[in-house]
Amino acid sequence: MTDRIVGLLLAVFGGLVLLAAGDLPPPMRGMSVGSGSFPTILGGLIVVFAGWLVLRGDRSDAEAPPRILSLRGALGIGLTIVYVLGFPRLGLIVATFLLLVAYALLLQPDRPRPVDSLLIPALTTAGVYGLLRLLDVPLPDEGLLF
Amino acid sequence: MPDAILAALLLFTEPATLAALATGVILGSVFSAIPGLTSTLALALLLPLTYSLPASIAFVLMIGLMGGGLYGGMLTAITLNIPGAPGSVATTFDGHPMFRQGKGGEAIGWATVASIIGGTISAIILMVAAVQLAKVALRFGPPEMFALTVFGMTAVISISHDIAKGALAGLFGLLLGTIGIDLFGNYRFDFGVPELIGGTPLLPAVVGLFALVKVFQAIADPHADLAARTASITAQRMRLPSARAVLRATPTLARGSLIGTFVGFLPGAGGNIAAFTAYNIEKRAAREPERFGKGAPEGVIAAESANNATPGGALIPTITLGIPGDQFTAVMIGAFIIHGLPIGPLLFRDHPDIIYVIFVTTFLMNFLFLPIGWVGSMVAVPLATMRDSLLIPIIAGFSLAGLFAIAATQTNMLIGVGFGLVALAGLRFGFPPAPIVLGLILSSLIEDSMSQSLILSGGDPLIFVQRPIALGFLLLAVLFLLLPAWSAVRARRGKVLQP
Repeated sequence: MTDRIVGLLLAVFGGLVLLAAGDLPPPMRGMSVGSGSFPTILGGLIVVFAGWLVLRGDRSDAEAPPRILSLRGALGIGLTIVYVLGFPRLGLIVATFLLLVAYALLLQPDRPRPVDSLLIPALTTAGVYGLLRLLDVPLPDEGLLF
Repeated sequence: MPDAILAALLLFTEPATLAALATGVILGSVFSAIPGLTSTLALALLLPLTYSLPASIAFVLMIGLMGGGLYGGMLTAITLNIPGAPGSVATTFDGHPMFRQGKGGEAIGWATVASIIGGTISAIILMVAAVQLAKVALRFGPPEMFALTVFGMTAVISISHDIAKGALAGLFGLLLGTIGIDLFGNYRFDFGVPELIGGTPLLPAVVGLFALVKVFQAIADPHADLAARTASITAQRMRLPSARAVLRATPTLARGSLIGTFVGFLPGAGGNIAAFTAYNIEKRAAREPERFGKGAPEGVIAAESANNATPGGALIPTITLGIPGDQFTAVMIGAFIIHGLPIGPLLFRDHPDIIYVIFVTTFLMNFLFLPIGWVGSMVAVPLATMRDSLLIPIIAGFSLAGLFAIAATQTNMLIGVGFGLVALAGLRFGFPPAPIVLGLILSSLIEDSMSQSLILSGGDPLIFVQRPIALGFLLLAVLFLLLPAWSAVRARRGKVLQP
């Protein structure tokens, strides 16, 4: 059942690709191909293979999917996005350390260990800072701390 | 020629040359082992420095970087299931299952031997037949390039557990590759984001699809324990195969090395397409293809011998014609210009000393893989066998830093996170990430060669089947797609017939 629904969604996506490809500039005079030709082929093939999924349905030998959805997981993703958007304000060292501490705590639901929660994030942050300095990558300079 | 080779060999008795070679191979390996960093980035950083070095030493350093860059990616591919470089994606298929079975040392040993043999064979071919092979490369017009890239795409799709999902993942990668300015100068699907005008960047895609997805997955289910902690660390350190085992693997090594050299010398095609093609051919040729993907050493041997055979090939069009065979050699052309050296036939006539230094370096650098693999396994294995709460923050920290280092902007980090989410959805619904990466790499090559071919033929698609090389690759592509389907039908019939 899952594959049929995914296939249906992908078929709709393929249809949208076909529509978007149709809006691209047409081939120049005297040419048989243009900007929309390749995306049109891809959109068409997506519809075909997605249709195959819809018709076929779930495979009997499909493996059980891993657990990827949880409140904890959503929090981890959210924190990563906040980090990416916010680290120039907070500074690389502080923001990276805080993110890695948060990851370590999220990864230890039962009893957090100090080495995992503080020492490794601190050492990794130092390593990251050292690597970026070594590569001469310009770091954001308006950060509150470092 | 023997005198020129001897002179180039004598250069390696000088400490400065040896130091340049070791520095290049070590730096290349380290950069390619860290997700997000590549040997091309290392070359771009070192390029200004090479200006102050004598030309011969500068090229030793650069070729060393190139070789190390292809070799080092296998360490994290095997131990963490995260390919350090795009060319190591195919190594994850069997290398990581071997690691999880406690055979990581064996996998690293096989990858090292395959890299040495692949690199050596391609270096010998480069020395013996560079000019002749360059002429063959020139016969590859747009229709042949189109057919080869389509074949490369089907090679990765056909090894997917589910062909339909593998094809959809590949098509998604190809579609992402159409973002940005196209062959005709039009902007496509960039949603007004200036950073996307240049196209979807490859490195954030690899980091997101293979590294950040691990971070998100581990946090979503902390009890899953993704690290392979069950195996003993000592047993996981590099263990070289016996001479008898290497002899038995000769056909696999030869096939992988020749495929790598051949694919390498075609402009635009790199280690990834070579590794996928060699892996696929090995799987098809195997007596028990069902072992592939579950820890078959032949999978590692094929992928790594082909991947490491590409430098010899990629250097052929670079030094003989001035056409870069891959991204790295494209940047390296800058070094020729910096040192005031001509590229192409004039280089052979006026600077044969540099040519032979390049030849000898591509040969000698392979033997440094042994100590690097040994030391690398001592670092990577304990790292990979740590518990998730120790390992995941390290992966996350360095992956995000690597993404920032590409252009010192947050855009690549956001794209990486986006690809991480795509991979997470792929995990849930059974879509493999490898075809997305290859689709992204091959998209512009496929589209450009298809458009150029159709413009040449006045819109007649028969151009793809009228030229023998193109027809051959397209037939192979169809065969690769049909074979798994035929095997599946046979297996189903067998089950039905069983009482």
